[in-house]
Amino acid sequence: MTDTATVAARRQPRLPGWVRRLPAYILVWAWTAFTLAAILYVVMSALKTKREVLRSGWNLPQEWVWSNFATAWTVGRLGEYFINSLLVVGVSVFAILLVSTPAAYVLARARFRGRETLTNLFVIGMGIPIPMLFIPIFGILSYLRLSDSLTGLSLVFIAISIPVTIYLLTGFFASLPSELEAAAVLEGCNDFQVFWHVMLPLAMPGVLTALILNLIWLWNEYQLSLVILNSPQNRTLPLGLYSLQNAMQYTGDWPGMFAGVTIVIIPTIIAYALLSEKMIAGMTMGAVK
Amino acid sequence: MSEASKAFEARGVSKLYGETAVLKDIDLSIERGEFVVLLGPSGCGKSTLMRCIAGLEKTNAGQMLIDGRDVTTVAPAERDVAMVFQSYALFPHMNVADNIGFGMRIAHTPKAEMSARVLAAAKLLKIEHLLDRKPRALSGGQRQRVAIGRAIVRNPKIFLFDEPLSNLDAALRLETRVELTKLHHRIGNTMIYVTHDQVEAMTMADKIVVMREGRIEQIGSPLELYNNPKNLFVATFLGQPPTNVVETTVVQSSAAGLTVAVGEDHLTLPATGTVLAPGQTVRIGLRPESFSIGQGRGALTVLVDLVEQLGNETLVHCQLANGQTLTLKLPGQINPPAGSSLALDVARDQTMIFDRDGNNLRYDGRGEQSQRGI
Amino acid sequence: MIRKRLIVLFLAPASLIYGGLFLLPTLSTFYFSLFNWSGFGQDMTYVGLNNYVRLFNDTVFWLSLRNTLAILFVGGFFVFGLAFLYTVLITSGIWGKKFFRLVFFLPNVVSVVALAGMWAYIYNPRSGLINTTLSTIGLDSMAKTLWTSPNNIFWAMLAALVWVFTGFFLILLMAGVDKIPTDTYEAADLEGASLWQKFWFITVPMLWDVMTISFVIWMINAIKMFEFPYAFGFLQVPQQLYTLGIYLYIMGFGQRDPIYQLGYATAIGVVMLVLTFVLIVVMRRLLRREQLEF
Repeated sequence: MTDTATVAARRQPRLPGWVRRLPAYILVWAWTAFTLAAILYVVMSALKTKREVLRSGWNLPQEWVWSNFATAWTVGRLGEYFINSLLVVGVSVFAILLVSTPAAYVLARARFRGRETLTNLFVIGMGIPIPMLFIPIFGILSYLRLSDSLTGLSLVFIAISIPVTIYLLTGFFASLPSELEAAAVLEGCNDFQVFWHVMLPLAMPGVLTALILNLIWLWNEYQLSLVILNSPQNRTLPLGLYSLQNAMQYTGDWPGMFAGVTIVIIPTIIAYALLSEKMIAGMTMGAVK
Repeated sequence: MSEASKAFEARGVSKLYGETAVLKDIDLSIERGEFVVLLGPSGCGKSTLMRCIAGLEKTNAGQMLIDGRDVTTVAPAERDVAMVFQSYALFPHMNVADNIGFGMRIAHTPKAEMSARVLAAAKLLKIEHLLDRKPRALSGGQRQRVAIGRAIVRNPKIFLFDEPLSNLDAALRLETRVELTKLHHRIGNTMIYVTHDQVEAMTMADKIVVMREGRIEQIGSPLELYNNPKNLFVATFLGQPPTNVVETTVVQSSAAGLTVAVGEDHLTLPATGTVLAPGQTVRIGLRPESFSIGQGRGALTVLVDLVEQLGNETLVHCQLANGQTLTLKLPGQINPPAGSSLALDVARDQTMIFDRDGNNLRYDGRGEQSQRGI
Repeated sequence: MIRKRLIVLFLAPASLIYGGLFLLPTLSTFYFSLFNWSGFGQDMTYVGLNNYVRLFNDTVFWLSLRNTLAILFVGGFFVFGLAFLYTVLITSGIWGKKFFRLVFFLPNVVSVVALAGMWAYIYNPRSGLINTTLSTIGLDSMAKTLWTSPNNIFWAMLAALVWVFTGFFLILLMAGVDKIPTDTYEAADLEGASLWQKFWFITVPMLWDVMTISFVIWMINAIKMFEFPYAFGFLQVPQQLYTLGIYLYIMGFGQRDPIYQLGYATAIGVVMLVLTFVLIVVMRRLLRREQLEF
C-alpha cells in the first residue's frame, strides 16, 4: 500500500514528456546543427567567388560560381584520382574478403593445435600503429619494384585490413549454430562443401558488413598512400584532395578548395545516407556482442 | 535378414571429453524397426551417444555396428543414418525443397529423381504447399516437419531424433508425438529418439534405454520399466508425479513377507527374496497412484498439506507422522481440508523396496535377460 | 571434421600476406631502430641503442609525445564525456534517434582530408564559420580570435578531433545500450530512479564490456594518430601539431625537404608500439570486471 502510494506521489508532479525532454532536444540539436551547418558552409563557400568568400559569411552566394567545380575537377585531376581510388579500393576489398573469409572460417570452426595462437597473431595487428609500417613497407615495396604503384598500395591495403576483417568474421562464423554443420555432414558434405554450401552463405551478412567497413576505411585511407605513392598520376582521391587543398591554400583559392572537398564528400554522404544502417552495424559488430 | 544382424549394436562404447568419461562401456542392441528412446536427465550422455551413433563424435573405445556392418570409424554420411536436430538445423538460406533435397544435391542425384523424391516426402508430411518457402517463413511445427522430411527422403537405415519436440508448444508437442508414432508405424524404419521427457518416452517407445552419468541403467519396454524398475533412479525418473520414497525400519522379515515401520504405522509387504535384519533401514517406493483412502483405520495415517485439483484426479500433498512427505494421486475430485488426517490403504504389490545402494530388491531380472537374448 | 589440407589451404594466403607485409615489417622496425640509416639504398651503420638515447634528448620528440598523450587523455576525456552524455540524451526517448545517430557518425565516413580542410576553414580568422557566426551574433571581440595561432592550433585541432571521434564512440555505446533489456529500465522506473540514477546504476555497469573495448580502440587510435593533424597542418605541419606518427613520418621522409633518418624514425615507431601495448595491458587490468550475462 505505502509503496504504491509513494510511487504515485513521486510520479504526480511530472511534467509532460516533451518538456522534460527539452534540454535533451536542445543539446542534441546544437551538435547536429553545428555539423550540418559546417557542411552547408563548405558547400556554400564552394559556390562563391574568391573575394566574396572572404567577406560574405553566412550570406548566400551573390552569383553561383559553378565553374569552381570545373576548376577543382581539372586542376585537381579528381576524375583520374577517382578512377585510381575505385581501382585500388575495389581490387583490395575483393582480395581482402577472398583471403580473410576462408581463414576466419578455419580459425573459428576447425580444431587444430595453435589455433588460438594464430588467431591472436592476426588480431594483434589491430593494435599495431600504422605509422610503424611506413619505413619497412616502403623498403619492401622498393625491393619488389612496387613502390609508387597502385599494385603495391593494394597489397599493403590487403595486409593492413586482414586483422580487423578476420576478427569480425571469426566472431561471425563462431556465432553460427554448430548443428547446421552437423546436419550438412550427415547429408554427405565434405569439409569444403560444408563451407561452400552452408557456412559461407550463412556468413554473407557478416561478409557484407566487412566489405562495407573496408570500403569506407580504404576509400578514405591516405597515410600509407602518402608514403607509397609519389607520382601525381598515381594518386588516390584522398591524396589528390590533399595536394589540391595544399595548392589552393597556397594560392588562397578557398572556393576552389571547397569545390574539391564538396566533390569528394558528397558521393560519400549519399552512399552513407543509403547504407548508414549497414555501415553503423559494421562499425559496432566487432565491439558490441 | 539373419537373426544375428541387428539394426544397431554398440559393444563396450566409451567416449571421453578430455579426462571426463561421458559414455562408459555402453552395450546396446536395437532390433530392426524398433522405436528406441534414450531417456535420462541432462548430462547423462544420451545426446552424446546419439552423436556417436551418427558419427558426429568419435568414440574412444568399443565398436558400433549398423545392420551388422562395423561403422565405428565410418564417416557420418556413409552410415546410412539421418538425424532430426533439436533446433531442426534447417539451412536458413535454402527453401524447403532445397533443404529436403540437399543431400541428393551433394550426391549429384539427377534433378528429376530429386524433385520426385522431395515431393513424395513432402506429401507424406503434408507440407507440399510449403516447398518454395524459406525456413524463417514457417511455423515451429512446419519447420519440424521439414526437418523430418529431410530425414525421410534419404530412407535411412536408422532415424535419429535429438529432442525434436522440445522447441514446440505443449499442444503441438502432443499432436506431433502422435504423428511421429504413426509415421513410425507407416514407414517402419528403425528410430532412435533422445529425450529427457518421460511422457514422450512412455508413449512413443517400443523400448526405453534409461541413462545416467554415461551409463545405461536399464533397458526395457515402457511398462517393464515402470512396473519393474531396477533401481531407485529408474523408479523415480519414470512416473509423474515421481514415486514417493519413504525411509522405513524393518520390523520383521521372512520368506512370507516383510513388515516395516513408518513412524507409528506398520506396513506389511510381499517378501523380497532377501531376508533383511530387523532394525535395518530400507527405503520403499510408493507410486502416487498406489494409494487409496482407507476403509476404517487403513495402513498409513497422514496429515494433508495441500490439495491440487486436476479435475479428473486429485493430487494430495501430505506428511507422515515423522515429517516425511508423500504425494498421492487419487481418482476423481475429493477435497480433504488442509490439516485433516487421512487413513490410506496401499496397493502392496506395487511397492518397491530399495537397499542402501538404491537397488530394487523386488526387481525381476528375467524379463530383461530374455530381451537381451544373450 | 575440417581436414588438415583445407585448414592449410584456407589459412595460407591470409597468413602469407599478413605475415609478409604487416607482421614482419613491424618486427623489422625493432631491428632497423638499432642502425643509423640515411636512406633506402644507403649503408646501415649499427649504433646500438643510440637512436633511443637521441630520442630521450630530443625536445621535438618530447613535444610529439606530449601531444600524443594530450590527444589520448585530454581528447579521450572529452570524447567519452560527450559520447556518454549524448548516448544518454539520444536514448532517453527523444524523437529522431536514428537521424541523430546518423549525423553524429557522419564525420567517420568522410575523408579525413576533407574534414581537415573543412575545419581549417571553420577556424579561419576572417571568413571562418566560427568567427563569422560570432560577429553575426554581436560578439565582435571574440570574433577576432586567431584560433589557429601557434598557441591555439593544437587545441583547435583537438576540438575538431573530438568532434570526429565522439560520433564513433557514440554509436558503439548506443549499440551497447540497445542490448540492455528494456525491462531493466522499467524495473528501475518502478523504483522511481532518475535519469542520472539509471545511467549510473544500470547503464554504466551493463555497458562495462563495451566501454572497455571502446577505451582500447581509442587508445590504439590516439597513439597512432597521424592523418587528421597532418592534413590539418597543410603543407608544412607546424611542430605544435606533431604527434609521434607525424614525427616518425617527418624524420623518415621529410615534408618539403627530405630528411631520411630512417633508423631514428623506426625507433619512434618502436616507442609507439610499446606505448600501445603497455597501455592496453594497464587498461585491461584496471577495468577488469566479472562478465555479466543478460
